[in-house]
Amino acid sequence: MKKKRNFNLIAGGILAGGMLLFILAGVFFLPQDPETMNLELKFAGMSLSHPFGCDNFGRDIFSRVMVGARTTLIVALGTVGIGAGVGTLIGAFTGYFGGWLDEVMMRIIDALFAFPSILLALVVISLLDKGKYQVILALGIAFIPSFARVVRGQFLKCRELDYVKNARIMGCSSLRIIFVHILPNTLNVLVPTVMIGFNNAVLAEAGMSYLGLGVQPPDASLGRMLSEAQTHLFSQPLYAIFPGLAIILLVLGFSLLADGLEAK
Amino acid sequence: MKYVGKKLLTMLLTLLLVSFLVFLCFTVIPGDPASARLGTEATPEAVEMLREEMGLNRPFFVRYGDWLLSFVRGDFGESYDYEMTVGELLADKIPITLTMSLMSMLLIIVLSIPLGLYTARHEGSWADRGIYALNQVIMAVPAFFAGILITLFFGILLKMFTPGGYVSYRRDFGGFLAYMFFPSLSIALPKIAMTVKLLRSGLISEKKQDYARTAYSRGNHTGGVLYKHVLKNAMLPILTFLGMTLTDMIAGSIVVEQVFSIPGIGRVLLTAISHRDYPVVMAVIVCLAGVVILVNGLVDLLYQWIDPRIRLEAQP
Amino acid sequence: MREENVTAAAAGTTAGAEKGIDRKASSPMLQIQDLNIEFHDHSIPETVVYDFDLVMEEGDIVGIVGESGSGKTMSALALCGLLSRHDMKKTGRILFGGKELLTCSRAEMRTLQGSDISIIFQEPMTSLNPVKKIGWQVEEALRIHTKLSPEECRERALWALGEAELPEPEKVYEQYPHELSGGMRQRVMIAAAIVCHPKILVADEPTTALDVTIQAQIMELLLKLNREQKTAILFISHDLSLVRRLCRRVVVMQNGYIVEQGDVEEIFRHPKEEYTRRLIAAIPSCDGEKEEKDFAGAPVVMEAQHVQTGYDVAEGGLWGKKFRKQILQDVSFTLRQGEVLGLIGESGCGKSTLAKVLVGLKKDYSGRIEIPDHNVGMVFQDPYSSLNPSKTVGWILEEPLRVRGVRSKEERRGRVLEMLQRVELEEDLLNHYPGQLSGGQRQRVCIALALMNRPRVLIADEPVSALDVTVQAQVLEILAQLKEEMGLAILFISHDLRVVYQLCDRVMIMRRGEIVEEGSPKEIYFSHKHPYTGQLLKAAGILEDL
Repeated sequence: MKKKRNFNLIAGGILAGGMLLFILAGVFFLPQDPETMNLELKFAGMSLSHPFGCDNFGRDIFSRVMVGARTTLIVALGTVGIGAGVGTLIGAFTGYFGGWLDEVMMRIIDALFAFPSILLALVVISLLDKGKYQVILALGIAFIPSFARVVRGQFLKCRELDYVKNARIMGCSSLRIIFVHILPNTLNVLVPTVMIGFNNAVLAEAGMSYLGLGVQPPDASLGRMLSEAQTHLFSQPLYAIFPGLAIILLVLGFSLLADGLEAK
Repeated sequence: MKYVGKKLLTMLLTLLLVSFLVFLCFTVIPGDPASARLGTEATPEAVEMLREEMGLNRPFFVRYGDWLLSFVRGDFGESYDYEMTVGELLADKIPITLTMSLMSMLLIIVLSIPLGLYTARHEGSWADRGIYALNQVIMAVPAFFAGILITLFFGILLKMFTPGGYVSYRRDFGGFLAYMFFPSLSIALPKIAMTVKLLRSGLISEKKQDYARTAYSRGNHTGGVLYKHVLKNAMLPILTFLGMTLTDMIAGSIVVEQVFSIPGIGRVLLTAISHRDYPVVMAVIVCLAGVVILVNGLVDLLYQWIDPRIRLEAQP
Repeated sequence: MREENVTAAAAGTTAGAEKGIDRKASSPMLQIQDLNIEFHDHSIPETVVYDFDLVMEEGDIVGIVGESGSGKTMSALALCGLLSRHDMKKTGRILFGGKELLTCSRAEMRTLQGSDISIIFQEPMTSLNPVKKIGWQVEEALRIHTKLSPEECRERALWALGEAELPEPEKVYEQYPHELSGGMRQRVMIAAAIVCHPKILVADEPTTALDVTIQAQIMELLLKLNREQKTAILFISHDLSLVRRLCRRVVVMQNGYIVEQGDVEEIFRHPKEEYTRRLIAAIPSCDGEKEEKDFAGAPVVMEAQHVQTGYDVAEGGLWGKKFRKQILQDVSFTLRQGEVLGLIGESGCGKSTLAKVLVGLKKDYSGRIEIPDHNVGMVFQDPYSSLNPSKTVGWILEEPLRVRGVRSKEERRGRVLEMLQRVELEEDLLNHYPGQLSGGQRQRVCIALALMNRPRVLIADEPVSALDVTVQAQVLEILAQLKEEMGLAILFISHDLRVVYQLCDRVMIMRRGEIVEEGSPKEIYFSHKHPYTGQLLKAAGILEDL
């Protein structure tokens, strides 16, 4: 049992770390310009200068995957930042104080939870317009309920524990109890939740961009590349494989990491 | 019975809250639909006339009540884009998306429950580890990419279906079902992986409970403990998960419909969003939310029918 | 049938030596020889039981006594075949009815489990399947081991439920576990265990989770089963006095080793080993002389007058109607400086609610509570949840000072060190996390934490109930010392009458939110007035002692 746990953590760490390194490397160095078109290289196969081949405009797929993965990462981080930040605050306060505020907030959260997050994001997009920042905001809002629920559950559990009662007896303020005494104890649940949330954000962003509602050209995004690749699936399957693979590796890495941490 | 009544009331209130939020969002945020409809060059008088005609000058709550009432009566308003009512537009598409969702659900139940039981029973075996690894990978594949891979493999390489060759259910129901199989599979795949994982970990953690030890102490073999004692307890959270999954799949179908060029609800919603056809968007969203709330409510009722502990709370 | 099994078992064993075991008619029902149990689920194998020996005849009652980690439960689980074959390595011999249990196949073991060997566990709350009816669970062993028809099964199950003295067996048969109280669930466990007339019933701390009066009833029931059904009982407990009341023979275990075994009374009167002597000495007794102190002149540090409170219970969730469940009805008492006041009651009587009201955790009460210097410390029962698991001991102990505005780091550290000395803990514990401490160490940290702000009143809610007896004695010793050194008044809440007798100057008996009797320990223990007090004393075996 113990061996397997470590395996998850190690494999997840290597995959996620490798993908992050790959994305980071793309910030400083790109083998080719991702926007340069070269019709002579249309659908070129794998070669040393174009390791993943070229797309329908003769652009280097390797460089485009690097840039697209970066965009996806930024959107996912922003999304999780908004969702986890706001969700944690809501969950912490409603869970700790309870009462009618909790009752009302939970009704609203339940109503929002009734929407699958991508649907909620679509509503926001249809109200705001398309674009990278709109997607971050839309998905961020869509992710608040799930974080709020998890954190609230943890706070409900912790607030009944004797160490919290001790803190109240010694006269700690509610804010101090929430942030200094209880919050650190929710991290073991919160961190895996954030990682899973990150994965869902990656998948959701890819889905939205695939539908053309997310990141707009000229920004490259993995979802968008897949949607373009689909039309040329017959002539250049590589174009679809590599962006998809990038998504899978990124998500797989973080889900293994989350599993490993959770089992700890 | 009292519990059922309360549950229905809560569901109704949630739906009301959703409809209110949707109405609020779509009337306040996008600006004036009258000027949007007439374009930037319209005279203020013309806009004012249209506002009057569309009933936009009445107080907010009157408009909400009006919209809600006609909604309940089945009148979803008229599409800005198409020359037909929203109701007509949707009636045609609902069977398509519904078929796809139900088919995926069937796939999930048929495949994941035996797999979950098998892996939990043979915890730590090579088959278990293999399925675990496969699960992790499948969960990382977005549904639309699964769709693309399936198109590539089954469609282009094996020629088991024609990519993009959607068959209308009115024309050829058998052909329609056959075409829907692969889209349903691509929606179901990640969900199957999640269900197997959840069921496996649920079974394993229930297997470690005190009551399972009691069952062993009476001379049960592993299978007896698993099927007679543990399964029912472990199925309870799975039930909730499947309820949520069905709603997720309805949303997931939006993307997969795009991959396989299926003219379902998702397609309608997407077009409506990019054309700012708000009556259609509102109708689709409220209807989907209704389905979601209904399904979750049914799951809750089913849950309390299975779990005796909740039954007691319901009957003081 | 049995003979065939024996031959099969003998043939199945590879070692020739196995055949040499005497299968004479005079061989004992159960014989455990040199049982060693090793854990293998970590990288380093860890032995939890060494060279365990035990012989039991039909109708015997034998007790195994030991503190947590002594290996008593492991030995019993090994006998019942409930230890995982993967993670544990067992060597030695367990001979039951001539059959070698350690080497026989799983299938052979299963034919014994639930029919000849039954077990009941410590936690009746979790040991029954929550989603199955009681009848179904009681009948299970019959379905597995016999070919009785459903009607016959039902009849036998009803008989067993009646035998376990459950009122209305027919009604219980149709109920689910959560509809029963803890005591009733333990009776159901017993009924399910005896339904096949086992030769031996293993009882693993069967009364630890129950109240004293229920505990006494379950012990009676076990004795009756032994008498009438001739069921041998292997009784595992941490409580020597319980074992003394039930068993003829006892095995004392510590850290996986058998320290001593023999006749109960003999061991009680003339313990041979140092550890046994310590165990016996750690049992608080009620026969010591107690000096009566008069606190009438001392200043009052806490006074409660006509305190009443309750909880709002909502029926059926959000839309249900609410009603108030009364917990405390008119509680009054005074506590004077230097005095230790004992509060005795069974679970649910409201004693913890009273503590909550007194320290200000529950504010919706009526009546008057007077604490002149508004400074109360509190120690909770469970030392595992009382300390924040993500902070170091040093941080935890400094927190009350930080909250009170003690800015200087040196001053805080100094006061923490001083307090640490008082509770007899080492200084290097300051950088440890609560998870790294033992139960006794944690409870001492909790006491130090409660006293950091130098209150004159300490409320201790079952502070030693979760601890092993020897540790319990240490913690009580420290509490008594602190009382003397700091002039503390203590409200000592407990269900354990012996502990209260030892420590307290005055005792209150609480039942259903009311104080039914109050007086000096001598008055309460030797000439009680209220019948409920008598019931408690009898259940705890104190009345018989005298």
